[in-house]
Amino acid sequence: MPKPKKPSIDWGSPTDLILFGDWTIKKIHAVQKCVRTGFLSSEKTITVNMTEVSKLDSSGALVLLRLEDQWRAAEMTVNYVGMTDTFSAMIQMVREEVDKIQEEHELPKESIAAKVGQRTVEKLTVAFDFLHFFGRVTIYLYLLLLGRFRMQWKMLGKIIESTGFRALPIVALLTFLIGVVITYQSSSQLETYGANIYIVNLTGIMTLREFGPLLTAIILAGRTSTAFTAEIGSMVLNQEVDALRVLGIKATERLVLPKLIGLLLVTPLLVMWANFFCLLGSVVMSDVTLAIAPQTFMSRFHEVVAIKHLWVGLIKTPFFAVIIATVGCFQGFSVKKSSASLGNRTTQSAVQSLFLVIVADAIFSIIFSMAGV
Amino acid sequence: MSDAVAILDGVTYRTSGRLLYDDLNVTIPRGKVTAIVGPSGVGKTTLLRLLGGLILPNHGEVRIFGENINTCKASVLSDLRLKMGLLFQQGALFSDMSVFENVAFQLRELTRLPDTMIHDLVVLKLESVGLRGASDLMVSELSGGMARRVALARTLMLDPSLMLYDEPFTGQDPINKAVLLRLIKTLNEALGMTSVLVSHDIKETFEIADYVYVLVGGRIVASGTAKEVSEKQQPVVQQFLRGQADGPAAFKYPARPIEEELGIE
Repeated sequence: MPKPKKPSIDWGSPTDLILFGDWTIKKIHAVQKCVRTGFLSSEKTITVNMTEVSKLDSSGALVLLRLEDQWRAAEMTVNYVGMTDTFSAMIQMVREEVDKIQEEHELPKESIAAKVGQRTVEKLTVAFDFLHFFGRVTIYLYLLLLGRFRMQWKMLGKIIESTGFRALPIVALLTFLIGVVITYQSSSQLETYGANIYIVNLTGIMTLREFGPLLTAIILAGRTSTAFTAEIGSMVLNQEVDALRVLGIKATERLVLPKLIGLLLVTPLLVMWANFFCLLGSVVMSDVTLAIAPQTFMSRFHEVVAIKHLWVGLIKTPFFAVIIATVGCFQGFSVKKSSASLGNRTTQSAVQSLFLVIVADAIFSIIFSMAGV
Repeated sequence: MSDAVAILDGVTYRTSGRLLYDDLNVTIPRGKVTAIVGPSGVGKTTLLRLLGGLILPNHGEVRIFGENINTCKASVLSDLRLKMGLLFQQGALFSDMSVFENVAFQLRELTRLPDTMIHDLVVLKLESVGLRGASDLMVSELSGGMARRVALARTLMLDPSLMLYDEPFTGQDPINKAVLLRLIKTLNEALGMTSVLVSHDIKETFEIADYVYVLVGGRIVASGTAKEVSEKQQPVVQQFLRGQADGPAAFKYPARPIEEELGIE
């Protein structure tokens, strides 16, 4: 294949232009460059010699037409020399397209106020849609308890496996490390006062009340909520959700309920698992930095950490599970017809479930502090 | 019309700010094959989704088997859906199931038939679309045309009385087209099924359609039997039927001026 020739323009006199080379998309930058070097003159006619042009495609023709329009605007007459049939056909075609496009009138530009309003309405609509979705899921859950729906046992098993069983290693590792970190950070402070043994009160209560449930919820929000969104979202893209509906199956019932129930069952168990490893981290680190033997830690733990702290932590888990499952599924159903929308919704799902989990946790803290628990 | 299976009455539908239909009236007669033809992007698929009760109109009424889908109860709507089948453009098969499980889906979900019975019914349906041998394949292993035929088998599982076909002929080879044509025709005659066909394959569609609507620019521009419509002298109808590039039905989306778009002063 011959190398594309560099396009250029030679103007011996201001009114007599000779065009050279390939006027094609591959060389369009060079074309643009030589066009920019100033053209208008005071003469009333201009001759464009095309004999040396080896190739002309639609992009080259467009540039040429733009030039021609400029000359015509300056009331100059343009003559072409050496125009072949293919070139003139190309220019004619591009000219027609451009004319058609120019006939369309301009769309009004939107002001900032209009955009702000639009975005506000969009956000509010999403909030209401979410409430609507949440309400529907609640009703379905109630109907399921009444025995009006058939439980998808197989699906439920799969959900428990993927959201619970497969999350065990990551939950164990992360909570163990957090246990190590908080113990290490607290120990240097406690040592200053010689209050080493209080590390057990500190990490024990913090883990059971906050770190166990919250860390688990955060991992689930990142891991499970997004997975739900991606799964349902790709079903929406593939019209599978529509297909379910026309086959007479309630999509929400079939796709959401097993996920919600699965997560409700799995979350408290995962939290217990997380508590165990977080405390294990603390035990190990106390032994290393504060010289508190594991046996001492255990007996002290037994004395000072009341069982109510465990319940306080566990009572939050169903709420977290509901948030993560409904946000994940809701975002999945909100996917519109594009793969970008799927990615966007998956991100939204992680962000919103994290946000709502932390807000819910804060609300619980307020309630517990008012109740004095 | 008392003998209409489905009626769109003065339907207005708006999607992402664009007015798709304004005051659209369509009647689907019982036991007939009704075709809706029109250029791409005119909202033929949306029309099927309206008829299938998947979306609701902004204004006007959609009545299917005499029920207004805007106002009827959810339970009535799910009963209605069991009486109709919608064949999606891309098939919309469940991608995590095999061909067999896809076709068996409704039987497994909605009935309590024994497995042997389900097996026989599924095999029969797959045979009718010529894909009995493919029953163990996964959906990802199917070609586009095969997926469409599996989807047809799945849709026909409960013998719906109203079938909505979205572009059934696209991507099918000539033999499959002929088989599908015969299948649609036979189902219509044998089961007294009402069929709605959305397509721009004029030749095939006009061959089996009892009644044709031509949808252009959000309006029905012509309707009648296939013969009547072919003889209509309206330029827009002729342009579409004969496939002419120039004519009244040019389709452009509103756009910015070309200079701004190309960044040229």
